[in-house]
Amino acid sequence: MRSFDILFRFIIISILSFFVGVIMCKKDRDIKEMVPPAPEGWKREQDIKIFKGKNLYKYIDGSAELYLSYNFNKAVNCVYSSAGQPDIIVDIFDMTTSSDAYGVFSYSRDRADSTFGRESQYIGGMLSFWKGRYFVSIIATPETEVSREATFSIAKAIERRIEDRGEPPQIISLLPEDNLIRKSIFYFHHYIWLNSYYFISEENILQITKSTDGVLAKYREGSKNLILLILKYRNNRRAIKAYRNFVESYLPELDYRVCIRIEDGTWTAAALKDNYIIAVFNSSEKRAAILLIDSVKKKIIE
Amino acid sequence: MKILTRRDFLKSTTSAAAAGALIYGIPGKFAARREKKTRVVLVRNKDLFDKNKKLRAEIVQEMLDSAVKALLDEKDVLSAWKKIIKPDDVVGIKTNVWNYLPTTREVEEAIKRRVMDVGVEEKNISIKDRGVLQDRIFKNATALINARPMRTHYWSGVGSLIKNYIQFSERPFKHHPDSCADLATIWKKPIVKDKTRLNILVMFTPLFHGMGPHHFNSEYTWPYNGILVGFDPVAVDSTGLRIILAKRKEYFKEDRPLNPPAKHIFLADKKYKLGTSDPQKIEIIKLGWGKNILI
Repeated sequence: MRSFDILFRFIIISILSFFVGVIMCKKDRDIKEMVPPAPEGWKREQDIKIFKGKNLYKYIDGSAELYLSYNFNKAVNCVYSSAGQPDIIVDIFDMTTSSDAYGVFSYSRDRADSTFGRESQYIGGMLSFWKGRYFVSIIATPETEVSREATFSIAKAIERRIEDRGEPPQIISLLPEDNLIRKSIFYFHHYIWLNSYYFISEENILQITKSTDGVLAKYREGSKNLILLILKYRNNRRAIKAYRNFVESYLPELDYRVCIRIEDGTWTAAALKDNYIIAVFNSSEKRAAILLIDSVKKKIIE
Repeated sequence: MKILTRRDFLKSTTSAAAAGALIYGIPGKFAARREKKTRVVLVRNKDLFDKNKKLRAEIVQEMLDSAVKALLDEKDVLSAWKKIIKPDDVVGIKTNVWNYLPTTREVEEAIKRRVMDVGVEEKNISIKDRGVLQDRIFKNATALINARPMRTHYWSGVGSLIKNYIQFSERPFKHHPDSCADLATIWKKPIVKDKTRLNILVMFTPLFHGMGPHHFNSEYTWPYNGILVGFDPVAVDSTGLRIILAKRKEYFKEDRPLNPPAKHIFLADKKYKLGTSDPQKIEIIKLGWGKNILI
């Protein structure tokens, strides 16, 4: 009876494994199918590689951490070649959500437009764009006129294969529009990126975790830029705890005030609103910092 | 160790504050102090590349020789190298093979040539990046020479001389948390501890900004045509970092800190005492081409 039971379980597990395998193969095939055929005059390598989870280190050791700090799921890589031209390296990253695809793109956004996908940029032979839950990178270096044309053709073909347009993270909508430098908007949910524009602390004093949504953005303020940070925590309790830790570590004088002048003469403001922390750094005027905080609070209520 | 914040660096004029201000990109003025300084030599040559943008091996050799002589206050290159390497040394030259920006064959050969000039037999020299832990010479090395280019890096801020020893770790990923903050611990491992005789930071065409999965775009490199040489890896890295940050400021026309900051350089100094990152404790000797030197 016991051996029958073991055999029965073995058969069930085998059947389940088979179906899981079939589903996984189909999913892999899905991402492979996003790699388009070669443009005229180019040849696509037969070997289309797939990298999943931490396996990404095997492909881009050193850069993998950026993708892993978002919700990286898997990536597909393929190379196109043509005599006398630089190879075109295509990488398509499935970032699980469109917010994460947006986040990866926002990390190195510099001269973005909407030529491809939701947002794209082309700098010196490197094209990147995001659409849906995908971040796409196409590199041909050193750039030639021919490689640029082929790069754009491949990008268009990939873009067509992504049906869902995807939306930027909801937290972006809390950024007030006035004086916002749009190309500076940076979305993240790993503490390592907190110091992206402005060093605050060498430790994670705002207690940012994978479940925290964060956005940093620069605002024009005369000849200088001030920096707005909005963090959305999973719940109010976490936000309160993080806020207390931040104030204790960085702004102990804050007390009941919203804004204080720090040692370099600039103003820093911080406030807690429900499960959000809002902070302004590097402002040359107290009023500007407080107004920005208030604008975000209003948007949270709306 | 107390958690350091921007405000701590702004309040203080200590060595930690000066180093922190540099590494974390905080503008500030700090009082000059009279202290013993560690020497770093910067050599640049405007003719380093030929008209086809190929490296001139003879110029590379010349630059390295000038740097080593200046570092040791010697007029003769061989006398200088004899202070660094002994004929019975077993020498590992730790290079970097990242295909977009490698140490270069020319630098490797220039080092090897001088090591052999001192009297080290070729069979006792190895040049390697990956696989040093399996390499017979590296395993038995009595002397190491550390040579790599400086470039920005997604996770550690910059690829530095300190970081170049990550291949000596059995589990490199163990050093990834917190933007590779504790890379300097690798330098305490028996296979490398106290063996490094010279650090060479190649600044021929440094990468000052990265994007995309391969973190490379030639748009963000420039012909700086330099090398930085010193005994203290932290001081050399810290000096290279100043050049990278200055270039970022020039290119982006604003203070653009590294993303993320090169925390591992700061901690290599303040926590692990591997060397100094404080610009005020570093004596920079500048030789050769001075145009757009950025430092």
